[in-house]
Amino acid sequence: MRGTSTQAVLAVVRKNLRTARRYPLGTVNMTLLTPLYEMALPTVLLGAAFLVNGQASGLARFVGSTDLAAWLADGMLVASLTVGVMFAVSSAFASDRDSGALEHVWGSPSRRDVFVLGAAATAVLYSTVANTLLILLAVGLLHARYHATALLAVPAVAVMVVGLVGYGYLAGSAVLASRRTGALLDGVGYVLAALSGVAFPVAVLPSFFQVAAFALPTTWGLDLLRHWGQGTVLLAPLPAELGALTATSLAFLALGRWAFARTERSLHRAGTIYQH
Amino acid sequence: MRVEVETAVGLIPPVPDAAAAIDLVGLTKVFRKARRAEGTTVTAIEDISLSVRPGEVFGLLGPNGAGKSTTIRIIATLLAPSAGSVRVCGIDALRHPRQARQRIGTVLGGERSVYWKLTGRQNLEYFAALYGLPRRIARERITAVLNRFGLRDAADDYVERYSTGMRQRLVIARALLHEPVVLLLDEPTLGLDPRAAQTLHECIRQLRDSGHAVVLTTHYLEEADALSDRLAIVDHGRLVVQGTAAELKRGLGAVQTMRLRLRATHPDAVDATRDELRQRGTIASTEAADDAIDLVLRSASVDDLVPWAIAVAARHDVTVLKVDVEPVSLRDVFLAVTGRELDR
Amino acid sequence: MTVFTRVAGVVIATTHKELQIMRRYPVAIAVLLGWSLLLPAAYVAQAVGFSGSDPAALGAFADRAGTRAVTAYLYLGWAVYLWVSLMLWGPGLSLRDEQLRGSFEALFMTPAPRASLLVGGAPAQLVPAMLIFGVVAAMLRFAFGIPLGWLALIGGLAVIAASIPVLLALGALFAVAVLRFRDAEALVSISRGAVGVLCGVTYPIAVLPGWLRPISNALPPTQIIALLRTAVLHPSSLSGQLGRLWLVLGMAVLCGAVALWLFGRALARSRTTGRLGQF
Repeated sequence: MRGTSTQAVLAVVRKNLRTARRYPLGTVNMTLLTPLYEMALPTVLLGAAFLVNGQASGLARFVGSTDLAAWLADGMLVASLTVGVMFAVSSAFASDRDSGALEHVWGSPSRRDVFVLGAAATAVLYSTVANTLLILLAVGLLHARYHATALLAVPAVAVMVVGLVGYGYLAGSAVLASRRTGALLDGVGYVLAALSGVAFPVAVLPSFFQVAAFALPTTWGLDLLRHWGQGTVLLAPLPAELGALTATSLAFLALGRWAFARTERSLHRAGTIYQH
Repeated sequence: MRVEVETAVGLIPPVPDAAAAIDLVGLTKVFRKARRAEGTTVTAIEDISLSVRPGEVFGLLGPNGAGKSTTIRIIATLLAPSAGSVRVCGIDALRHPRQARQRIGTVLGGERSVYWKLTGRQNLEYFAALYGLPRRIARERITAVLNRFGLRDAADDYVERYSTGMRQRLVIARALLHEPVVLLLDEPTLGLDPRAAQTLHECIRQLRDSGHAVVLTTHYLEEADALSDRLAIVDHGRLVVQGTAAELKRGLGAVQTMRLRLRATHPDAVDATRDELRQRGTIASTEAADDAIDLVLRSASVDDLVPWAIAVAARHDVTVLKVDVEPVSLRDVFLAVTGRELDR
Repeated sequence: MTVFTRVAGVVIATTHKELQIMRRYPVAIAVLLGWSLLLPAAYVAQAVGFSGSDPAALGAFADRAGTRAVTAYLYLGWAVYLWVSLMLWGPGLSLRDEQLRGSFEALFMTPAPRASLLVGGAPAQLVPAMLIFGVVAAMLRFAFGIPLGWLALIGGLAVIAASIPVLLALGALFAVAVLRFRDAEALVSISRGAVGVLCGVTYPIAVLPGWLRPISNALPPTQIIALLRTAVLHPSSLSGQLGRLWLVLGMAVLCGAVALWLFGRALARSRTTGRLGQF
């Protein structure tokens, strides 16, 4: 049955890619241009307003690095993954429900997790491709620099993706539970990304928000990515950060799966899966 | 257009002849009303029991809101019942829903339930993967269903360019990909033109002939009568009566139905006319219509009753504005068991 | 009935309809107001992070932006950005909604002047826009302690009023794009992004490369943002910005004329291709 689930997840990814090919402009806009003009560029330009002799000396006081471009590029990767996974899962369910396809895909013997994993995998694929391009742009145009130790961040990001799948489960259960949550979820994704420190150091947040930030796997994943990529100062000792990343990622995955299973049971009782 | 349907070698074991493909016992579903009507409930279906054999078309007939779609979705494991049991090919569908879904093909919600931005073939590939078909077998099945439903030439066109009839055929093709024993069709001809509906009827007959157990919900009396080997009438969530169409009609104790529109100068005349008409049949209904009375008479007599009915009316100074006579139909059965016309 | 009264009648009716619909979704307005406070707050946090309370960094910003009031600078920029989003894309996307609902053709079957249908819904957006400005003004005054005198308030309102014609005209242009292109949402999204990046919403124009600054200055939202910041942060200097005001009004006339011409051509084309109601 596990092989069948893998086949089904890949089928979901393939379907999403085929659909995206019908809207090339929309796909490029969503995966590459939107993160660029909604987050990356406004933030870079604001940061540029504080440069002293071309150096981000103000930022260095918080994070120990003056490489604004690389620091932001890492943030954009995590922001793109966060918003992308949540949007992909929620919009897939919403779209299928509105079209009437949802009850047919749920009427198949495939586990319902397959649809969350498939949408999340599609989003991770898009984000990886788009942000590789953005990082290359940052390196080429804005002189972003990465240490060789940046490769050490790959397993950390992989663990963080486990937590992001948890975000996806939560987004999926929210949109299935209520029609009205669609637009709100986009905002939640942005808030989660912001709290993770994608565009500003977590240290500038009031203490209440810092506690929330430290509960997110994306905060720890991003901090490790920046540490190994740019040599920034860690929020906590390395072993503690690795532990926090693992624990929060697994916690969000468990929380997300629990919420999704609950919503699934509720839909099964109420029959609202097919009501338009 | 004749559509050929054949059964390829399936991955699902066949059901023994004597066993029911679907067995419902005491099925009940109570919905809780949300928000404003806190605490109140709606009973969608109550105590529905029926069974469907392979090689049979079972019709669920009833008006909108009767509980047909609720019943179908419980069988499809998309909705949990409040009470009762559901067995599909001997499997307890409530305890083992995924195994049950392996044996069920569904056509719910019609032509919009496919992905319009994909081609027909891409839609089928996707669902074949969701049903766990190995790739080689999926390719064979897809080719087979595309041929059988006349979609081979349009297989690589986007579904958004298909006609309504083509989309409906694609939906049925999708339902057959995994060679299910059971087919659930929820109002499959809704929105189709008469010719497309006729083609679909032929397709359903062929599916039955090839051994599938087909459950069909409809609010079209003619469709239920023409297609169903057995049928059940559902009204206000209850299964009122079930049997073959011939059995249900015989149960009325009549062979013909006469519909009269009468106008009288005074009410006593209509009453007297009605009393005399009762000598040769049963008055099924009397309704006021504008300045006339619509009256339905069912009779077991095989004679031509029209001249007699006109003569009766004339004796009581009642004018016959209109008279129709037809063999007893499911419409009469519905009227008899529910007390009203299907479209009211 | 003159053309003017017919157009006015349709605009009033369409605005009324939009307001009735808006009233049914108070949560959407609340979310919008929430965003008008939260989004710039994120940029204020960024500014704190980038400045690091370093006097040199803060001085660099002041040199480029002409003010040390970073919070007010960012909040005013975002308020205008949200307002521009409402006015530019509201009419265009509402026509898109009509196409998706299938009521587009019914709308055009009426004898209403076509141009009035094009912009009719836009005035309704002034309601949420004024709520945004009100909330932002209260936030700046009471949460951040930024002094807002009567001169600043009146100047701000004058700038907003002077900006309405050009935003209506730009909104009409985007509505034309809806009729012409199938993937209109992507176009609108890219345009919205371009405004966010090029018009100085979150940064002083001085940080842009030299070749980009003329392009930025040619965009009406850039002028509106600059005018509003001057009116609120340096109210006594507003009279020196009359040139910008005339520029904005001139842009309104030009954009309006182009929108009407393109609209006529798009309608004619739609009648030929039969795609008026299709998406």
